[in-house]
Amino acid sequence: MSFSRRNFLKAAGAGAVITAVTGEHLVAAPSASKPFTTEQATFIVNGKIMASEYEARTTLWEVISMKMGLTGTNRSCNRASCGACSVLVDGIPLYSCHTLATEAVGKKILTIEGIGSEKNLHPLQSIGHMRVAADCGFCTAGWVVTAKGLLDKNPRPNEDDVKAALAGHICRCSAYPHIIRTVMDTAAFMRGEKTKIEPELENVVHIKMPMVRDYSTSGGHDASDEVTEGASKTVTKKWQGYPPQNLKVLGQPLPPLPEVSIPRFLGKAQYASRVWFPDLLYVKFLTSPHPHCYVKDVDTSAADHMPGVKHILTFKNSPKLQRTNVARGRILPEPLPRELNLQGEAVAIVAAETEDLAQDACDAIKVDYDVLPFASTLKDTMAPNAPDLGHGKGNLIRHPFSPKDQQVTWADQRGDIAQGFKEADVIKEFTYRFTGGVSVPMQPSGSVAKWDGDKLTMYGMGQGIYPVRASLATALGMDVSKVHFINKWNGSTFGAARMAAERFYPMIAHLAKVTGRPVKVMLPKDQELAQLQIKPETITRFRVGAKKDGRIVAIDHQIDVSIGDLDFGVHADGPGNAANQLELYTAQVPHWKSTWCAYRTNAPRPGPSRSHIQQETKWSWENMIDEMADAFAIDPVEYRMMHMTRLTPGDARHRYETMPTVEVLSEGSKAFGWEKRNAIAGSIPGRFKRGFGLGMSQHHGGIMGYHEGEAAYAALAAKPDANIFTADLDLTADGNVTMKIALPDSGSNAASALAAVMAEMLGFTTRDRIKLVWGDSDLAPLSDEWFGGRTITLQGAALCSAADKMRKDLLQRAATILKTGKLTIKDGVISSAHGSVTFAALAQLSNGLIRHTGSGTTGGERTALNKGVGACFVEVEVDTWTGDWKFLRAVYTHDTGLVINPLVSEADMVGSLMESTQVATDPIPWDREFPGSRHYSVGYLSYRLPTIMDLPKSTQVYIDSLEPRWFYGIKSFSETTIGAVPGAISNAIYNACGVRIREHPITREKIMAGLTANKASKA
Amino acid sequence: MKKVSIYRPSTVDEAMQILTQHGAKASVYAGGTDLLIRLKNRLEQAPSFLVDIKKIDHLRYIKEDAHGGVEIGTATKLAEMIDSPILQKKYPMLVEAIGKISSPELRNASTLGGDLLQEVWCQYLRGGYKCWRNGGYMCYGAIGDNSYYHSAMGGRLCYAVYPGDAATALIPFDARAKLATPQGPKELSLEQLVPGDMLVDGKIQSHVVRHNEILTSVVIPAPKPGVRASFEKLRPRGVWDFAMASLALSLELRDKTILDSRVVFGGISGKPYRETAVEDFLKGKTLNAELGEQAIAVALAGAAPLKYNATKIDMAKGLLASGLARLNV
Repeated sequence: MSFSRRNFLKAAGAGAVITAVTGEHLVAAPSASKPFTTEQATFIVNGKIMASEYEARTTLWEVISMKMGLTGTNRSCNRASCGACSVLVDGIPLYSCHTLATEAVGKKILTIEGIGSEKNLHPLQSIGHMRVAADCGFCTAGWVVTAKGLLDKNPRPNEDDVKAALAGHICRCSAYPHIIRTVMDTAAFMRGEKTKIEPELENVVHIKMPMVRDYSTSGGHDASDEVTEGASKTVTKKWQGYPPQNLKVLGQPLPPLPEVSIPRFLGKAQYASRVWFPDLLYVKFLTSPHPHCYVKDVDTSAADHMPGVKHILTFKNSPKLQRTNVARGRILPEPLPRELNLQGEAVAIVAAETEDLAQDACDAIKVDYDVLPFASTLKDTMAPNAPDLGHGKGNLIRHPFSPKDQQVTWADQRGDIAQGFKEADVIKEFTYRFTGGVSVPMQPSGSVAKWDGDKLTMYGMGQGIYPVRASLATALGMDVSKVHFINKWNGSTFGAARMAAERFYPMIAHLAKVTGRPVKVMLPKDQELAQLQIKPETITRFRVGAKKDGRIVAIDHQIDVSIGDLDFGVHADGPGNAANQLELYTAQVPHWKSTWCAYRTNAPRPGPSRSHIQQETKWSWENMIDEMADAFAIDPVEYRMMHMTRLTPGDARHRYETMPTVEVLSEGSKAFGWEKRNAIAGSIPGRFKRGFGLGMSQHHGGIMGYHEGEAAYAALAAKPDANIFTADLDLTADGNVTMKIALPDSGSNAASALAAVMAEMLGFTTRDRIKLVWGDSDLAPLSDEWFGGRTITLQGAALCSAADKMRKDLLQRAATILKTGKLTIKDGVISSAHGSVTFAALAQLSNGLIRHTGSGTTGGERTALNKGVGACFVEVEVDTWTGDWKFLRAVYTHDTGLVINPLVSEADMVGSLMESTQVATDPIPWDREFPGSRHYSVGYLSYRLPTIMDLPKSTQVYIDSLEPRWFYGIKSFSETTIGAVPGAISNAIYNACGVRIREHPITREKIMAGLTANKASKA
Repeated sequence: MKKVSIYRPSTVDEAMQILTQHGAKASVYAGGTDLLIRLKNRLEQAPSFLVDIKKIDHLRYIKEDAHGGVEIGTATKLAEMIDSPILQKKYPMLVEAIGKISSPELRNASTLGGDLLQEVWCQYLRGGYKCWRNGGYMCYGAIGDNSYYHSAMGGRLCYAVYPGDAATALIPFDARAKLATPQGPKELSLEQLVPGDMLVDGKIQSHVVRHNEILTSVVIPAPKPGVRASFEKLRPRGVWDFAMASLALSLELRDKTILDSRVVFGGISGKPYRETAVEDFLKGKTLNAELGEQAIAVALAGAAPLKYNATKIDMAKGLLASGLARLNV
């Protein structure tokens, strides 16, 4: 070398880009007999020479992303178990989180930034967009880079080659089929065999429902032009005046909006974890090892002055949060309380120059704990000698509405249960346990806070920006207008991640304030587990009485639920939530009784976690119904047909307008080929036995909201705790219509769906003129956050009312100009017989902007009027020699309403199926023998997220039971069927091999143990 | 990650000197796929000094030897073994087994030596519990949730299963390991290399390589004529996961008569578990559809399952039947 590497670097400066390539071969200095603990070196990143100084322990990801600010490469598990961080090093894909930076010195590194750009997309990126190969997009940068590496070496891969190459990449949303097609199509495109890639549908069966109800089935609605709703007999115009006829945009398979989707492929989608500033400080938590303890003292003296440490928060110096109620806000829990009810709760928060230095400081902090007795399982918390976790109130949650004469949280009944069992010919008892499930987002939960004077910018991760902004401002005692909140993209949230990020916003903001530096936190997966909302442990006991023909006449149902240290929330609260799970099979049972007991525990907190009270209750119901059917040798489809809720005139308890229970079963079983089911469990001879299984589900996601302009809206919106959704619709002088909404995108592509609705309402025949601005409190109007998988009709209520106003306003303006009211509206042109005027011209006449604001809310009678129903049919194959099983295929049948975009919804539904499969098969990483302790060691080896190799073939069946209350018959179906999956798989395994798994999760060990036991009992 | 210092010796001798100098605080560093996890989890047992052997010449190769066998340098990447035409031709079962290790990106980094000598993946050790292998005096797996990562064949101190697939797959070929030691070169059979749960230089480890020795190559004898081999691995997902149970089986056949065999189970014991009882039983038997059932009857009589892992034994027996069925073609 003509000059020393060290001097060369000094000249360039750490982190600087050196544009001139010298021609010298830059490699690490030859080894001396001395080791190095820090290093300065250069890397050839995307063709540019980049220099950096780092520690020997620093990973390549940290250098690329934290030192160089190339934030396109995401890090998720940080333990080589997901592939999100993949880069090419000399053409070879490696996990950058698991490669020491020093390994890549002088080598050619290709990151997502080097693949393509906005102006020059790589075909993987443009075709990926067209094929919806990214839902949340957090894994996208990683697999795109690896796929580029594959195609560079093998321009002619087959599907197995693609799967093999991408096997080391987890897509949490399971866009796997779309990813495979993207890579195959890209290869064909690059070989010149394909020139144009159009969006296409695969594996979708669309059942168009009759517009008018026939009570022999349960879909459809009555023939009138109006809907009469509820006890108030409110009359609503059907379809809100927008009938599902002559549709141009709705129902088209379109890719998501480019402004949301393309950045996912470029590594530019701004997740909070991608926000970077050159002077960022990084945060690490010191967490409690005890399931229950009191922090007596914390000594940070050994850590305070360690290298790179800027500030340490403990209970001693953390700011006390202001806790007054705020409009549309939540009260944040104290982030550093002294009594800690869960292993993994934060004790100290350290901000330092790097994550490693922050962690070094955490390791040096001494904590004096008072270890307290704990109860982390239902068994322990219900035990007579259990510690009182309620501080005098006991462990069973009791509300004012709890029955006085029973020690339960909630109870409901119909008929006389004792009489029911008297009438029964057969009585059976079942106990099921769901051990808990967790929907893990790929994006590490976290945030970034940055102050400019007295103005705070917060980059968050959640389901809305305004409620958390209000909570944050209140907690810090500051004027809400001084908080700029940005949250545009999430790498999934699933409800699970919401609290994990949000709870610490005030502390991160405070750290940024006291250090005068922007501060970032990305919770590692083990610590995140203590903060995620989970699906809790439940134990369900059934006593079921039936007549000789199998018809159930009595059900005594008792369920116990673990609720962590919450006194409130969906699992501890009212009858509406608890009743949710009763609706499918009790409508025709004359005598039933149901009790719900919520118990405090030292276990993770439950809450909505990719659906709301679904798998944790459906696990027992779907297994029970299958066992009853089996006991009477009745086909499970037929048995469900005998019992399930269906629309019945005059049924006061189930007043739904559309509830196609019959259709999801009949159309689903037709698409699946259910008639080939083997009637006797385990009866197929041979080693590999196939079995069919079925589960059903119903979900409140189908509940409609109300929009501004409807009769009930004003009263509902005036309530102090109302959830108000707002949206602006701006028509500008270029003729474009921009939707301005506050909601982030977690991968459901809800805004893209709503853009299609806007286009249709405004008379466009394509979606191209609809633009989106979102997730930024400086740009979008005040609005609530989404919940319950109901974005399409809550945020949609706001947008639809704005579009309705816009349409009427534009027609009126045009009528004035064209001097006639007889007008047609098409593609931004309003025409009469004598002339026309464009949207653009109308905007120009109005100073370049016509804005309409709409709003929507929830509650009222419609809460009780709509549900979505779904059914999941699965085929499995059990290897009876080893207990191995394979998920071969699924038919996933949904009560959809009008399908807005069958392509995007298919991508979403494959994700729903696979996420629920993980919940069914993967235990929450909580130790069985050391209660209250995490069972976590290594990334996604501890939570086993499904991979591309584990994917079944799946078909979506859409039953478009048009919702008469809503625009075009739309309703939401994002989580309608998700609860059906675990029961369906369990039932299929039973059907295949005769092993019934009553305690979740479904594992190979349990199948093997069951097979061995069955063999022994036969012998 | 735990703070580390890295050495880059250019010869094996230099590497051994450094290892000798630092004792238990230093460790060989090659692919890092196991080591970096332990460093990131800040295990007490994780080293502070890494001796990077990747700059040493002559550790990364696959070459045929004079006797028709193959020698593989231990710094060879697993991906390079999969891509090797020599290995594909001579030992397809080994290539299949290596292809089932972890994930493609990890196989691009992991080395053969690293796979053979990797630390166990017991969730208690990796989760930082103070166990025998991590500065403590107990085995949490023996009394804890031992459903996956723990031995069903008994144990002494540490009950973790030996996690590697390469050793399991190499034993049927009678492969041998070459080591450099300060006293000169040493050669061991693969079974001798990883006997499981050993106390070596004050450390509990699965292998017998001393702290200042370096595993340099693996030699596989020429494939015998008439040998058929099969590798079976049972795991929750089709990628990444370690074996719940695995089997490397080879049969030396004349027509359908079994002249000799190797039966090695992985994922059920603290070592690759060679089941000589089955090997003895198979000798002279005719390979047919009933043989699996009969072989199962004599297999794993020494099973000593813990609370949650009895099914490992049933699974392993199922794999034995499966392997025999697969070779019965």
